[in-house]
Amino acid sequence: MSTIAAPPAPNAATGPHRGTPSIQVRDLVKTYGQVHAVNGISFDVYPGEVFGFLGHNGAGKTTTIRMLTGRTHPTGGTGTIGGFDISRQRDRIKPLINLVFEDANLYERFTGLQNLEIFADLYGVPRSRAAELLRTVRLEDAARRKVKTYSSGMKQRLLIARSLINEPKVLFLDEPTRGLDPTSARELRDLIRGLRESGTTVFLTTHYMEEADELCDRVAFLSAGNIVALDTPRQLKLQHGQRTVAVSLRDGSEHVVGLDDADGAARVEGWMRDGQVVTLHSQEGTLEDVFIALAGRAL
Amino acid sequence: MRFNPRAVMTIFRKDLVDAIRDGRVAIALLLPILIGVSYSYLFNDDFTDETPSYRMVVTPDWPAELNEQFLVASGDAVEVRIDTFATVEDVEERLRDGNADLGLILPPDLVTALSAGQQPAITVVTPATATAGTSYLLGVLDGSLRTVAGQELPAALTVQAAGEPEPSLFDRIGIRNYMLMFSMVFLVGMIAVFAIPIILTEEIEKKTLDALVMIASYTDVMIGKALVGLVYIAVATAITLTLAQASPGDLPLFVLTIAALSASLLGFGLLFGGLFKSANQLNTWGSFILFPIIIPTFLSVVPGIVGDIAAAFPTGAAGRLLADALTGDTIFGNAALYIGIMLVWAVGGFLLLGWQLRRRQA
Repeated sequence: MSTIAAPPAPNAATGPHRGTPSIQVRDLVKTYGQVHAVNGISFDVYPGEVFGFLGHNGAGKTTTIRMLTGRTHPTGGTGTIGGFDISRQRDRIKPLINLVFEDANLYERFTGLQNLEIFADLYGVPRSRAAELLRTVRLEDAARRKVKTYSSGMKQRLLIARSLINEPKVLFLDEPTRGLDPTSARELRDLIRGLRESGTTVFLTTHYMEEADELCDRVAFLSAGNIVALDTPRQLKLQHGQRTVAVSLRDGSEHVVGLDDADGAARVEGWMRDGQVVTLHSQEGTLEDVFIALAGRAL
Repeated sequence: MRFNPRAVMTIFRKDLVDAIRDGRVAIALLLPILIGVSYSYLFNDDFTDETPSYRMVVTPDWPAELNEQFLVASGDAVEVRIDTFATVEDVEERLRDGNADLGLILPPDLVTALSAGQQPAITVVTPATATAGTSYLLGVLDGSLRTVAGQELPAALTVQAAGEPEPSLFDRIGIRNYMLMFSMVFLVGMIAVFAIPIILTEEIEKKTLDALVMIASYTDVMIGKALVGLVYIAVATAITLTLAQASPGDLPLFVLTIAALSASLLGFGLLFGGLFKSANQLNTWGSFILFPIIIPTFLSVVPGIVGDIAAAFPTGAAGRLLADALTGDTIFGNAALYIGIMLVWAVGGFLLLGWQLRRRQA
């Protein structure tokens, strides 16, 4: 499989997934006056897939999420979620999706439980689901405390609980681990894996490349409103990352040598022939290296 | 513009409870109630119908013949009270304390002496600072003494009015009703273009609106908040009328006017709330917006073109209707016209709000 720099054809699914896509986007465009926020992107996301959407600030990630979640109209192109058109069938899409917002947009004068009950009522699900979710995110002890007394990590967990209130088929997560301590971030990543196993499609934006590498089945790199790469993290690294070996020699020196470089390969061969090599470790390029190579600078 | 009743009711219940916990909203609700109640007690119409009342204190006796002439001469224009006391000290004390306008110390057998043309000595005691009553009572006393003494008056005066007095619009409304009318419009204005917009702006500022519209529509949100506004207005109006002990002369017209005014202002209020990025920003600028909203109410009772122009605005039209409703009198009439004016503004406000919502989603 190869990394694609242009929008893929509808049948060019670049992962192990097949079947009817949960999210299907074709030539999606959003302009604000003369500004092209999203410039004709296309991709598919399949049920049970964790799809990473990475890009700099202003690359068009949030605008894409806003279009997919029905909060703004596309200027051009099409998109479907669960087979429903994002422009014309928003009311059919809304019960199928949910979103963990980047900001802690909670009702601070209400308790954690009340926050969830409001959304249980809005989605028409039993209020008992609220207490159940508070247990899932380990907030049951703080259920009756006002949200304004919560720490930022607790708020983030409450946001995640709220996003699961309607058992969404497609869950959008916008920077979900931002501001979380390492333990909470790891718990959230476990939760995302659990969602994937239960068949939930996860659309994830994050600034943490390691997180994307660890969690995502596929990632799309967005730059200036265009998808510049879309593939599995491994394929992206193989395709665009530099293969290197770290070599320790008998004289105590250490060298990192590019294997794709003919001269480097010859040097390693020479050290091995002369019996100078103590250790030799092959190294893959990181996703961040790939991103820098494709988008020009780090996130 | 479809709406989901379940979402509307959820948002309505949430805001009904949550808004009152916001200090800015609580003040916006309480302030007009306090103003309405205090104005209704401070501005009282009773004094406008008050007949002037003067008191004269006399010692030792006030002869019946003189009393008869005195009452004829004083007429109905003033109310005169005459009290007799046993001693001169008692009379002087009343005048010193400001409890009387004139004091008389009469000689014995005054009427006999007057009839005999003996010029009896009468001591007149006045307050340290003479009042209007002092001059009036002295004038009446002079004429009464002459009559009892058998003297002819130089002329027989007959007083008649040129016609029934024509009360001004303001007189017909009365100061208390006028201030109550202002208070009611202020109350609706504060809730519709200040309290409810703060709730909306806070949702925009905190981005909770984004979470709501993941399942509800913008229309659901606006209807939910407009309903909260209507409930707050209904409750605040009832509290104000109860505390002010005011009872509208035409209750159905009063209720209809408050409802139509609420509808006409809530659309603009929500539109207004959508223009601000933070509730504090709205809190700062909101007072400036209230001025042009309230001014037509004051001007609506002015006769002529000024009043008619003011009545073309919803708060002006409401002012005229409230004047009729509070007095129970048809001072301005044309209820259908003024209700129509408010409904046209209501439709305009909600159409603009719909346009703003479409832009928000575009």
